[in-house]
Amino acid sequence: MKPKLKTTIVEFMLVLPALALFCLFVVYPLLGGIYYSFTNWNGIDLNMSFIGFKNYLNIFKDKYVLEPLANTFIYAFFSMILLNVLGLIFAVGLERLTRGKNLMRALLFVPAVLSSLVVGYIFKFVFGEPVAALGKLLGINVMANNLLGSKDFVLAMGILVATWKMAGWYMVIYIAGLQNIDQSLYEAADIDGATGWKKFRYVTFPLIAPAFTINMVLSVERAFKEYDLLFALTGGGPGRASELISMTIYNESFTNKRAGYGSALGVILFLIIVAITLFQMLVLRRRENDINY
Amino acid sequence: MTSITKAEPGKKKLSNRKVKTIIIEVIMILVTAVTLYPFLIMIFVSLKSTKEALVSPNTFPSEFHFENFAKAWEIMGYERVFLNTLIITAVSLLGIVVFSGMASYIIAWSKNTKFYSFLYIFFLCGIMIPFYTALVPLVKLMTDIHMTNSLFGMIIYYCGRNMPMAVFLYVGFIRGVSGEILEAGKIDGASVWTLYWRVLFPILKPITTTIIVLDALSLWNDFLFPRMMLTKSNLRTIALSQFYFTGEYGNKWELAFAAYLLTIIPILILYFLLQKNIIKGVAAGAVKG
Repeated sequence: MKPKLKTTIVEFMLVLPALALFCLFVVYPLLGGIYYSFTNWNGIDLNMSFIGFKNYLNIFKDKYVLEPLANTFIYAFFSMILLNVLGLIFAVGLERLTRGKNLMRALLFVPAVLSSLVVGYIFKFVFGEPVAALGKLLGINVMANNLLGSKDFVLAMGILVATWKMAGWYMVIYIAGLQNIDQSLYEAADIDGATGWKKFRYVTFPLIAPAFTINMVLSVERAFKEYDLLFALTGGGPGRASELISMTIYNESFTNKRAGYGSALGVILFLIIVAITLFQMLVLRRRENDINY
Repeated sequence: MTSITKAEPGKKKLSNRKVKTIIIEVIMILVTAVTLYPFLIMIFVSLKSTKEALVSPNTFPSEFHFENFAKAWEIMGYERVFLNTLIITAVSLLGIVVFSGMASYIIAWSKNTKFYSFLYIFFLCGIMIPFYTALVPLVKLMTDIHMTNSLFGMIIYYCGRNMPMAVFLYVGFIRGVSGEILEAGKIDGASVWTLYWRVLFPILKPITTTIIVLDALSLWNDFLFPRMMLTKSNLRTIALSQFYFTGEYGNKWELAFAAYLLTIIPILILYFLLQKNIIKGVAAGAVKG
């Protein structure tokens, strides 16, 4: 009995540091966030009062929140599509190369190691100078005036920059998926007379389904957590045309001194991420299973 | 006759394939060029004089002004900024690897399966929580425990935040390791502690690499948390100095770009040295996830 008790204690001591840090810095703030979301706290004063679901109800009437929320969904949807399409095309393209494969893979991944902040600042310049100069040359007015200053184009440009930064990351994951494919399957497909597209559709794609699932989930989750890139590139402007919900949460919580309201927005963001991730896992995993049969 | 008709389609197919390969090569080279173009711009502008950067920002520099780098270095207090970021990243990584590794070892192999599988799921729930949900309570917590403007405060927070993902990756990996190794160690009478460090930890090297790569990139480049926590200028990190530099010298592109280059050079050097491990780490992390 005694040695067993000792083992239990030793085991728990080894888990304790990880558990304590996790509870203190992740779980406790989450619970705190949920708590504040039901108050009208301004983040500074000692007193606050409970206002029930009022913050949550106000969110759906607040156009200064609904616009960033819509932006975030648009940003997540299109960056998911672009990152996965380009990541996969780059991966397939690189695998077809006979020379320079490793060098090119290494170079395409470089933007992914930079901070989003610097990427945003660099592209602020790129859109302001070289791209604008090209716009003048082509006689395209919006482009010459700076695409980041146009309400209609700014979010799309943000999506393009995000794609420039991260496409290499998703490419690497697709390459790993491609390399797991047994080459004899392609030989078998050749014998059956399958052409390039058919080989991709019926051999390659089903076998990289796990990589596809991961990349879809990862790209959406990252988009909903994005802040730095658009903060540096546009600061959310012009107006709120490129503001993401993470920026709104920060501004409401600190700049506008509405900590309770900001917390409610945070909880909504959390629920959105959980819902989308579960949905994706369910749908995509089921597809993976179908393919196995 | 027959030999010619047989050879012809084969030959044609081969040259078709060659043409396709060349097209793919050209496209991939173009893609790489687009990827690298901003770096080129950055290098060009960082070497120009103030006047040239304003008047003709898109051209090759007419003369090289290397003193921009010296100026940017001095304004940022680069050695301080670099050291702060290095300390935060390195010590946090150490904490993450040690604590999450030991915890995962117990979670995966303890006989007390009921309790530890519950704990595992508890940890996993942490992965999805976005940083922004907890902004207000987090700032209040850090203020209450007097951990603002403290590198140590940054480190313990980062350890906590990255624990769930690390536990997830470690447990997945450890469950795939054969239990016989552990049993053999137990017979030798080794303690739980020795067993972990002597026997299991060396086996975990691939997944440890993955965790270090993923967390190092996110910690080194993290911006919003240090922005809220570190207000003293001598505690600035790389990301913070990029932010403040832009605030003050954003209209002096040549200085700003010299500063950006200085701040990204360490991570670029590290990347090219460890490129194979980093790419492998990213791919492995995703496959497990």
